[in-house]
Amino acid sequence: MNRRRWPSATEYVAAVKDAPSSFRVGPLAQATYATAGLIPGMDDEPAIASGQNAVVFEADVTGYRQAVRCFTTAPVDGHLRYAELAKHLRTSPVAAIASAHWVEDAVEVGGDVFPLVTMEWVDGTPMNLWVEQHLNDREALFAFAERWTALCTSLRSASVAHGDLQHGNVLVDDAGRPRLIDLDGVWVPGVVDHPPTEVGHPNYQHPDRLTEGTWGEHIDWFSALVVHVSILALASEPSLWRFHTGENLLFTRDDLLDTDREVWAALRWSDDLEVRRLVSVLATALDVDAGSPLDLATVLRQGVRGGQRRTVTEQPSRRETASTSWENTAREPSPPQTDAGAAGFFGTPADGFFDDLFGSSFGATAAGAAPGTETAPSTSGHGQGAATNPSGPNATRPPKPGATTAGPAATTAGSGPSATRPPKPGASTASSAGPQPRSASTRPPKPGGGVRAPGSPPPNAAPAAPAGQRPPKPPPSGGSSSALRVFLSVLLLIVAFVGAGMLGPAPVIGVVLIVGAVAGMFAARASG
Amino acid sequence: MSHAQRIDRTNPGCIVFLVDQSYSMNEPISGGDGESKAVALAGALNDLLYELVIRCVKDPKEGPRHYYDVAVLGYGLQVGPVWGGALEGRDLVAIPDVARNPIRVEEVGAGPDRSTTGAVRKRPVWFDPTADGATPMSEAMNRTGALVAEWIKQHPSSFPPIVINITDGAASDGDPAEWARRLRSLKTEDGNLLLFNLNLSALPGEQVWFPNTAAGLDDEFARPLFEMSSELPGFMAEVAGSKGHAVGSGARGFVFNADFNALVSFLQVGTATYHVSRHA
Repeated sequence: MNRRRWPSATEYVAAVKDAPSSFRVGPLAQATYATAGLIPGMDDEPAIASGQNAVVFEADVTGYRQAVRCFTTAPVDGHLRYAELAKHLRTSPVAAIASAHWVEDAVEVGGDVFPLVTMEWVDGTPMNLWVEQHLNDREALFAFAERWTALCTSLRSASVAHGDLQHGNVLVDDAGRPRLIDLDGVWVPGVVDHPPTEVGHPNYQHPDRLTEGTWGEHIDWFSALVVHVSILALASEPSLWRFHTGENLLFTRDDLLDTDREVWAALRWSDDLEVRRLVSVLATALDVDAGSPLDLATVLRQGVRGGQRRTVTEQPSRRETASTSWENTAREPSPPQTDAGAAGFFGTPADGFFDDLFGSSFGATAAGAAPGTETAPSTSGHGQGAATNPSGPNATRPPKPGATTAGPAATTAGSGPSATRPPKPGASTASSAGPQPRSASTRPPKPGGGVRAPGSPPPNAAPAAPAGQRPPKPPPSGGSSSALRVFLSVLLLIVAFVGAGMLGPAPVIGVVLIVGAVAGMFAARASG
Repeated sequence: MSHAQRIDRTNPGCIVFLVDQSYSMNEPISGGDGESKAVALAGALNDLLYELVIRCVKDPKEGPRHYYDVAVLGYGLQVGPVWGGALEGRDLVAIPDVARNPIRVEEVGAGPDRSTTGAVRKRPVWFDPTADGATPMSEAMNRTGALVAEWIKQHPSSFPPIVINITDGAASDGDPAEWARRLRSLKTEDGNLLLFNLNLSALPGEQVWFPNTAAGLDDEFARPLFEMSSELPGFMAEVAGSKGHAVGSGARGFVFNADFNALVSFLQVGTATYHVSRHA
């Protein structure tokens, strides 16, 4: 079946124009098909919409509107998938999924006969267009977010996963209710061993799913979260729509590969505290396995606790090739995402070695510390303090949330900076809300990065960092303000010592100044 | 992983067809019912342009989206774009512009491979066949390089351009290998430009599909074209496989001794970016 030549879109157009002789199924042969003037002089051609593996026509079958989905590439296990889906939905119905039927031997093209899928025609607006139309209708967006959560919950309750939740596959009807179309990648228990060819829209999927083809019951939670966070963020700040490209809501694949990109910062500073919390959950979610047994409602409630550790694999680098040797018209190489130190370390077997060596004790430490990571006791020392650690393998990367305050209690002026850097509001919200930055529990110590006791994750310990594609987590602190505080603290300390020396006859004043300086440093830390 | 960028409106794709318009293209094509190579090629390419237009339609009410910029450069008496009508003289044209500006619509037998019996179908025509002069393939590649390098500057993160060269002979203006090498060295962040070559045949003969070695390519035209061709990215190899061709590891985007059906199939494989143009 996979070896035959699947028809092109133009061949299907010709077939539909000649429906009575092309379709082997009576109702489709006699149906009338919507037309559209795509090209001047061809006004009576069938209206057609193209997808990745199929084209869709709109048929009126004795008064019932049907979507007729014809395949341009072999639908892997399509027959089985649609049959299992129909069977499954009979006992576990999902209101948001339109009924679909696989029709074997349905249409003849070029001397061969092909299957197709008919679906109830869903009247609705693609989710991104609907959102655009309701950008200034806060209540509508909030209501949609709730319906979205309910839809995702109903999928989970029915043990169904759609596999490709994205704007084009979510149609919103006049009442604001979402419906799902394109069921070519659906998971139901009957197709557990039959992954489809597609892995969903890159602007919505966990980056690992795109490269690893993650398949299973739990493939929807990440894309569901992307949608939910985006909708909520837009409800409180319509201007975020500037991140919409026409092919997404707010996030793109590049954004999901790099949490330093602008959209993340914009959402971290959302007026809505819930958005701040959820964007941090989303960032954390990038570090857990795409197929973790999670669901949207749970993730919204308690973050990605329970998610499995992401397998560290070589990530594809879309930046590795950006140089040219021809003419001077082409691009210069992009700057590398991380410096050699980071790549060198994370790419070596030492990573796994240290994992094995320290993994379990890390787990214990972090499990205890995680719920309030930001205020976690400073059980470890950055031996080299500011001079080494923050500028460790990757000087330009701010630390992950939770890593910031893991520094030592400052005992000398030089060790201060990392300990006194105040996290952004978003980060503290996130930490207290409980998502567990996985790296905090599994990161090995960083050789060459100075003395680092177990439990103290390196500042940029994103496990995906090997080739620099997954930069570390959100910067929890405003760099300049923290630097200022450090500077002032140090200055105060120096003044205190000098003062103490000069005012020999009045040591009390010196002591007061020293105590004041130290207190100030602690206050700076605590207020962060 | 290169050649993975999804093609959409933020990252459109670029396809350049290089069409041999030399005198020898007047010869009938193998398997083409007496049609000349030039006529068969124009028909297949016009069909493919229509296919690309349809592939850019997500909503019939909206019309095609700007997912691709397309150029068709001919080389024969002259080297330059072949568009007729309103597009005359333009090189890269956005798909919505292509859709709006065919020269005319003609009726042909149903199905590009004409195996369908029955109704005639409509085919939009963007350019007409012509065949005269020599085979200035190197100059065509030079022009393509300038065109595409500029496009890359504007679309640094897009799927790299695809250049599909269809010829029935050897270049008349020097060895095109160096030009081909320079073309292939152009790259976006997503990987190197893909250069595919197809040799059209007048006589039925043994076809060579997507070979991964030059061994056995004895023909004087075959080996240079093989050397000039990029490897098929994995997903294109899959498409080729799904069309029934045995595709080995490292297979090149090259078909030798193609008849009409091979031409149609090759064009579909070489432009099969729909999987990355997942924009449903």
